[in-house]
Amino acid sequence: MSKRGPDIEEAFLEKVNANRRIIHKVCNLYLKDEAEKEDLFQEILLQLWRAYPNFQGKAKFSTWMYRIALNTAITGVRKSQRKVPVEDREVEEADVIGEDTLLDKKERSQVLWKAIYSLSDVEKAIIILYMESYSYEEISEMVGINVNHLGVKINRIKKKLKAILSPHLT
Amino acid sequence: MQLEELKTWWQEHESGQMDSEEIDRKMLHQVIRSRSKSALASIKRNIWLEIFLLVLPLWAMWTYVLWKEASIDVFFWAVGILTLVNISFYGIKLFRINHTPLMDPNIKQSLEKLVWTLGTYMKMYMFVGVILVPLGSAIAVYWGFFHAAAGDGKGFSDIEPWILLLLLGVMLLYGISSWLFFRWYVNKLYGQHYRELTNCLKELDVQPSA
Repeated sequence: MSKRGPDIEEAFLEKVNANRRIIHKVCNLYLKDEAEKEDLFQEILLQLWRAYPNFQGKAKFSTWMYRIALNTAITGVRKSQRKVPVEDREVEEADVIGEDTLLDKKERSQVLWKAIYSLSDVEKAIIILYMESYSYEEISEMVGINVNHLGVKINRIKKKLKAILSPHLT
Repeated sequence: MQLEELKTWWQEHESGQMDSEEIDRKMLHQVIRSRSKSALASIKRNIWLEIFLLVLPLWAMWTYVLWKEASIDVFFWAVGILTLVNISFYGIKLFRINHTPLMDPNIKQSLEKLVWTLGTYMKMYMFVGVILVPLGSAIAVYWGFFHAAAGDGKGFSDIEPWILLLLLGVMLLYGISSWLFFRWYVNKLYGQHYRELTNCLKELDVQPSA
């Protein structure tokens, strides 16, 4: 039993459960191994619980959750313990060019994940927030860089992804 | 390809994902009770382990000084200084670690704090390894020979030069070994993590050209 009492626990669980897919998305973004994903899931949940008294409701709960989940994934867990194998991260263009461009949904997902795994940790954070339809202002605030810098970074990410994904989007 | 296409693709993919299991109280309690795997929590555990390992020799030295030694001599001061330095060293480390919130307002600030904390620890470890350990050893060796010589009715100046040279050589060797050990230990504890975090921070600091 925690020291904060059942009411606080209930409120916390209700909010977290309503947005729990955020934690899964972040885990999937940074890890491939199921056991490691489970560890990261628990670590994020623990950090959310610890930080919960500081949640003041100024931002949306989901935004606050993203912030903590990404912070935990990037800075909180020793990366040597959770490194995605290099062969899985680096997707050579040769791997995808020449394949059938009419991929089914499962294959498309695999290619998408491979493309995302080839990004750096910071780029992954930016792209997930972008794909979740956060505005440039919100993303720049969450990442800690200015909007112009963010625009340039997103452009670079786009070029990187384009090299890998374009054969499958035609 | 436009990023909008990718966004649609992502959202399609996400909508196809099965909904995950709901987090209940039991799971929450289990997580709260479990050991954090965060870098800061690991550092904190390492600090406590080091404190525990340090307490035994310090306790043994103080027992010797207070119960066996009647006079307050160089050994007393050496042990006193060693104890004070270690208390300060670990006190600062624990204070910093307890005041380093993992959840800063943004990723860049979290990275900056963590990189600073890890960088400071690495420097402190190297200071201990390169300066304090060899110095403490030198004092202990000096004291040991001084007392041994006094026991034989000799002054320190009566010790033959080749013995002093030998002692100097041993201290030098000890200093180099200590430096190598600490370099390995610091790198094993924080090295890779520090480098990766520093790279992430550089990526955020560098203003890329369009």
